[in-house]
Amino acid sequence: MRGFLFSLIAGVALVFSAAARADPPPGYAFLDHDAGLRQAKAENKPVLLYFGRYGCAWCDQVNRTTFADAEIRRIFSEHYALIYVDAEGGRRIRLPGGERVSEAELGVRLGAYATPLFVFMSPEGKVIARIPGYKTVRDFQDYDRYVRGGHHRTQSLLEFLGGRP
Amino acid sequence: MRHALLAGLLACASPIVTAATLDVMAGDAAVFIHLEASGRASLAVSDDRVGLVWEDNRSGAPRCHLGVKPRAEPSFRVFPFGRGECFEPALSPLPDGRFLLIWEDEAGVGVGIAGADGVLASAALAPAGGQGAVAHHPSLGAMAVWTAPEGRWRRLWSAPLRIDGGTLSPGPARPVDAAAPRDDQAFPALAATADGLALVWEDRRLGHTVIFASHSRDGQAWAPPRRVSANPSGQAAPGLGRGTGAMRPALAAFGARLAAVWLDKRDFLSGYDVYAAFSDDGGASYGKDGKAQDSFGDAIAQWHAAVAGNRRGDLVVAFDDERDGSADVWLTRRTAAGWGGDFSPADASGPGRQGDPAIAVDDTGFLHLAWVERDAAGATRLRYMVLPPP
Repeated sequence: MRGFLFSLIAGVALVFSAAARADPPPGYAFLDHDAGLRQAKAENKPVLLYFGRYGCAWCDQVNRTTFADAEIRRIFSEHYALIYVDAEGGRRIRLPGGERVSEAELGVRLGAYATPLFVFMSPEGKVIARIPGYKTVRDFQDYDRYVRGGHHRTQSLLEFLGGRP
Repeated sequence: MRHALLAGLLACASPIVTAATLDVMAGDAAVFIHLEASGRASLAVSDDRVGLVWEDNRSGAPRCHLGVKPRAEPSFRVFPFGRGECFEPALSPLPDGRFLLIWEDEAGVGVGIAGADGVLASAALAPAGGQGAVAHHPSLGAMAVWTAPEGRWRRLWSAPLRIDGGTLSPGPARPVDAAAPRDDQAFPALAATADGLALVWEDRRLGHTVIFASHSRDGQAWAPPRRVSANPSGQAAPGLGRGTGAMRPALAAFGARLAAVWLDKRDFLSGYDVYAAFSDDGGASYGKDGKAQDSFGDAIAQWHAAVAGNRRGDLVVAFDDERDGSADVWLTRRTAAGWGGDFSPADASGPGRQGDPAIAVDDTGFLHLAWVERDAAGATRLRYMVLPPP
């Protein structure tokens, strides 16, 4: 119940702030970086961090198609802490190691060269996979199986995807 | 023998000690050093003195620090400043061996004057905000520009700074753009020119991030903003997005000209590139922009673009990228034939991460470079070196 309330309050907060500042997909309770990591830890959920640029065409495309899918919305809303980071933003965030950096500086640390960049992380903020560019519903279903199925403990994402049916 | 004697005499006459790279400070894996001034204005030279500002957390929380040294001395004296947690300090030279500082701390936006013994005077500019830039013009005086939250957006503000001996008094704050903000204005960079003051910043009024500019001939009013970067605006087919990105501008006067430099993502598949545009009228207009980096960096992302110039017309751009497998500091000089090709000083390249450059070019053409190094074991150093003119 506590976790649900946390998500509800934080999600409502983000809907207002994100609408004004950046481009997360509608209908998702994306949080800012620090709140999302707190939620992940509190609810022991993996993280989907969406690193998107303001005005980015491929972010728009993935929002209108992949993230408009009802099953994708259900999977990520129920099972993940959702974080949206503005790739050119100047707001300060706190990395899991304690460092305070701007949102844009996170792109340097992630080796981001294109947006959107999707980063799956453990509830403690450890990076599991970094996936740049437009991705389909099927792609995200595979990533979800890789992350929540625990396959990342024994296989790289490429190895896992190479063995999919 | 004759040559050795001549070389010895020249060495004695040189005002610069260039032999060794200095470690301004060092820390372990839990220490984070940030050179992240708006406009990357973290390093300046005033008369015979070098000033460097940064933020680090060695005390357990982010704090601002000033390092000051005479050019020929082998170490910096370091002074903490700001109230409580402090971020994004920037500085600019004053004409008398002192420096003008601006920073964000728990009290809001602060400005100060600093000399050989640290911060001499300070004043509050705004109760909230940050991303400050400062500059001093010989006849118009000193100016500060910063961003502050206004409703949904961040807006650029400016204020003249009156310096009377050892005192500092901010004048009235005014918005740079008189029109009500329609989106964020952020990360200003400021420079003094023969014609007045020039300003660039990143602006989102077009629905994506674009570099805008203004200028002031009297140190009071700012000209209407105009666009500098040509990163494309508008939707990509089929009706997607609003345009590519351009961010983190830096600005420097060199000779009678002005150079604006920024990170530009018009080639959106290979990360940001370093772009530049020049003004020959004190920032009233800029020519067509173009890449400042060379083509060897085209396929990867560049970060942390800085620019510095001097009165005799030298101009240098610095940035970092991983073209050689790990982050290195890269430099390029502007020549009569265009950009001279990227080069990386030995101490600012190689294993580990060498990045976040800040630069200044003194009036004799010596390039002062500071950067942050993090080695494979996690240890970090704030480093400084001087490169002679080519």
